[in-house]
Formats: sequence, C-alpha cells, structure tokens
Amino acid sequence: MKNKLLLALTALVVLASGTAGIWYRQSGINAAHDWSPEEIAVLVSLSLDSLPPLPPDPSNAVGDDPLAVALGHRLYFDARFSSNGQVSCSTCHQPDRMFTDGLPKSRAVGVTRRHAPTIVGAAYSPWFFWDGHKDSQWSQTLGPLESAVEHGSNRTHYAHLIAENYRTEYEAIFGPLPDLSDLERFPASAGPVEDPEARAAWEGMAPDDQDQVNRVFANMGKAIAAYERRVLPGPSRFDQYVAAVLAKDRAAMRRTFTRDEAEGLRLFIGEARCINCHNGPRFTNDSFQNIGLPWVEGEPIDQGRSAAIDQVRDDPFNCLGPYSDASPDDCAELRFMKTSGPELVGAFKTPTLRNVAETAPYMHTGQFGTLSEVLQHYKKAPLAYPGHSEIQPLDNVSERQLGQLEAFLRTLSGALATPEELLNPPVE
Amino acid sequence: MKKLFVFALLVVLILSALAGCAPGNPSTTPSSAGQPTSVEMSEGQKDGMDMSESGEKSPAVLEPVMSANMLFRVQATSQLDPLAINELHSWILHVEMADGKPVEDAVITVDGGMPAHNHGLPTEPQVTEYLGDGNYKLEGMKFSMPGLWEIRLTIQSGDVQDTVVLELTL
Repeated sequence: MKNKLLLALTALVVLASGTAGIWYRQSGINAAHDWSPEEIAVLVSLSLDSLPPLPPDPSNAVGDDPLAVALGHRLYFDARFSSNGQVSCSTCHQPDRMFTDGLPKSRAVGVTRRHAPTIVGAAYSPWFFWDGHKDSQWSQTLGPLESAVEHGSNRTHYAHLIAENYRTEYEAIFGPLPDLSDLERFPASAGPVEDPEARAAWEGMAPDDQDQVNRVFANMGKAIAAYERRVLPGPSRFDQYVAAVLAKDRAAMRRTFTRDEAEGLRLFIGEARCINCHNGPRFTNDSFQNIGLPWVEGEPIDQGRSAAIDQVRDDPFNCLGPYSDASPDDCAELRFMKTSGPELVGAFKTPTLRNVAETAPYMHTGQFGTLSEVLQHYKKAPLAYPGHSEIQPLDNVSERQLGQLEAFLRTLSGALATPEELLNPPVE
Repeated sequence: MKKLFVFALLVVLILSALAGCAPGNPSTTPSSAGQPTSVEMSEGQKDGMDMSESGEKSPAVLEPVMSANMLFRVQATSQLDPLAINELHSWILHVEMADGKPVEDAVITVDGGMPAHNHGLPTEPQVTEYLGDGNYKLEGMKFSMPGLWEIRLTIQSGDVQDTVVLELTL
C-alpha cells in the first residue's frame, strides 16, 4: 500500500515537473537566451570587442599627435571661429548629447539643411556628412566652418585667428605660419563662400596666397579631426550581454537583458533584417541607402548621395588633393567610389546605432522624433521620393515585436571611451 | 501517510513556483514585461535566422568559373582572407582560355550586386594592373551587406568577348 502510494506520488511529481518544464520552454523565457553558434558569431561581430583600434588616417599626418589633439580640442570649443562669435563645433555636436544637438535641423548662425549626426566613432568611417560629400574627418570639419548657416565665416578670417591666438601651438605641430600681415594680399575676410564680398576678396587673391591660406585652413581641420578621433564609443549593456553569451553564463545573460531585449536582438539580426545595413561593431556599413523617407512638403528635394559624387571628387581637400598627406594608394575609397547608379538617388549614409536612444531625432532631417516612429517606418516601408526605396515592409513583425526591437536598441547606450577632460571645454 | 501526501504536494508546488519565477526578468522595459509570451515567436525566430541566406560562406579562393560561351575560365582570389563585409580590398583574377592557356591581353570590366536586394556593388572596382601569367589585379572590391553577391565580369581578348558571373555569399 505504502509502496503504491509512493509510486503514484513519484509519478505525480514527474508529471508536474514535466508540465512545468514544457510551460517554461513554451513561455519563451528560456529560449530568448538560447543562441545557435551562427547567431553567436553574429553577436560577436556586433560587439565592441570586434572594433579594431582606430587605424591611422593616412591623409592626416597629425591625426594621432597629442599636440594636435590639444589644439583641436581648443578649436572645437572656440566660438571665435564663426561670423557672430557664438558658434563652435560644440554648438551642434554637444558632448553631453553624444555629440548631437537634439534638434531636427541645427541652429547655428542660421538653420541647417540637415540634422547634425553624432561624431562618436565617426573617425572609422570612409565618408562624412549624410551624403558622404567629404572623404576624411579633417576635410569634413572645413565644410561647416564656411557654411553660411553654420559657422558662417571664411578661411582667411580663420587663418588670421590662428595667427593671432594659436601661433605657438600651430607652429609646434605644422611649422611656421605664413606671414599674413599684409591685408592687401590676405584680406581679413576672404573665401570661396556664399557671402559675395568675401568671395570677391578671395577671387582677387593670388593663387599662391590662396594656397597658403588653404594650407592653414586644412591644418586647422587636421587638428580638429585629431581631437574628434578621440571621441569613441564605450561598452554598452549589449556588449556585456555578448560577453555573458560567450561565457555561457545564463544567469548573467538574464541579469543583463530582459526577455524582450533578447528577443529584440534576435529580430534585429534575423527577421527584421536590420543587420543588412546596421552591421559591424558600430552598427553601420558606412554605405548609402535609400529607405524611402518621407519628403516634407515645402522642403527642397534632397538627392542625397547622387548629388555628392561630383562634390567629393572635385574637392581640393579630398584624399587625392594637394592638402592631403596620403599617397594615391591610400585613397582607394575615393578612387573606387561608386559614381553612378539609380540606388544613389535619395540615398543617405547608414548611421551608427551605438547610443541611438540618446541621439533623437532621427534621419537626415530629423523626420522622426522617436525610435518608435523609426520602427513604424521600417514596418510600413513606404515608397521613396526621390529614387527607389531598398527596404521592404516587415509584414511578419508584430507591434509587440517592434517594441522588443526598440527595447534592444535602448541597450546600445554606453559612456564614451573618451578621456573626461576632452568632453569638456579646455581649461585655459 | 498524511505527511507523505503533504510532502508530495509541497514538492509539486515548489516545482511549479520555480518554473514560474526562475527566469528573473530584470524588467527595464515595464511596458512589454509580463505580457503573455508566444510560442509563435520561437517559430518566428527560426524563420528569421537567415543571416547568410544559404548558410555556407564563400572562401577567399573562389571556385573557377567558365564564361557564358565557354571561351574563358576565371578564378578569383580575394586578398582579404577571410572575406568579410565593409572592408575595401583587392582580388587577383586569373583568366585562361578553355584549353588552359593564360590570357595575356584581357580587358576586364566589373559590375555586380545583390540580386535579392536589387542594388549594385557599393564601389566601382577596376582592374588596375596586369601581373603576368594571366593574372590581373582587381582593386576596389567591397561588400556592404551579408548575403548573396554576384560579380559580373566582361572579358575582352582580341576580338572575342564573353561574360562570367561569380557568386559568393557573405
């Protein structure tokens, strides 16, 4: 009798644990943290540990010179380098906003045409600006300095400012400054800019004098880029999760990621196909895609990458130009740049997703205020104007799964791997 | 006897409780936590795991391929080994006639893209150098997405021309 009862009880216990086990598996709680070897390989490819040390920029010989970093740090925060004395690089690329400004379009001397992208980790990219019309970070810095709506001034003005305020620092890095004291030869305000007076003054300068100013201007850019090269992403909760996956530490995996975050990651690398373009440890392929972003009525039509090809090819400050320190062999990105094709029309550079939750609004004109709006766009995949959209609707991804994707994206934030003193204006 | 019954009941209760609570949900997303979880999701996962489409990744030395009209045989070797996305690199193309004789004077143009995504290559690769023995240096290769890529080569030698399609999966 007693034995029979024991047997029955054991059977009951076995049955109960079996049922509990099935429920446990069906709930997805456990499965969310199960990863196949192929998936693990993909997770590793996204992890910050897969980011190689920043390679040198052959076009910028001082890119890793600490003196150039120090000068660039000062120039980055110096609002004298603008037409109204109020705009510095840090106006729109604010360190405490992950080097963005939180606005759809930036406000500097005027209002910009596009949204200010982050510069965190940008040094790894072969292309700069949303349409890639610059091919190096130092050359990139020169664009806003002469844009009428950003810093609003011109290169000869800046060369004079360097001579007056940074002569010692500049000469320690780049050698003697040219003698700019003759204001007939080197007007106070001259550059190939929108302002007709400054432009006329520039066109009146001797080519050799223009060249000397160009060189100071390019060197300024190289110092600012040396600073910006130090602005790098730091580990996020996602990176901790990958470490836990690699260590097969399930407790740490569950501690680090909710089930929704893990499912969001699974969607990201799988069914939602985000990883097609947002790949590698910076979550970008540094390429250009048309994703059918809404055209805002009244706004000029933005041709994106297709309009940038001639600009970057003809730019005297590109990798092959006279102010670059690179040999032509180092300029393969520019030499073998895609110059035509329908897919360039309305295409913009894939942005990094590191710290994406901290860098709203999104897209090249800040079309979307929230990550949720971004994900809704990808779900619907509307037709493009101009050009053809490369994305296809995510019909099989539910609203709940979009929420999981968003939960995952929020795990990509982490403190920058940049020395604290570089995140603040320099101490004079 | 009664004790045994109570003990068993307890075991069952503890087991179910364990099953219910064990997977600590750190719950940083209160909006989605605690909602009923779906079995269909784990099925969706399987469908979603399509990272490399065919699964097998191409090696850096591609299989020799005959041209469309069987005039040439081409073997491509990537100088980036293993092949990877987002890295600009060069290939060596070895071009020979169907009988194995190296082609010394080939003029090669390159095109290609991703059939599944309806876009071309992200760069404009070019043959920049003849290395001798039917070998040509192809610079500017880059792949910007995982998946199946096609590289279409048009080869002209003297007055004959033919095309070759190389396929690789990243």
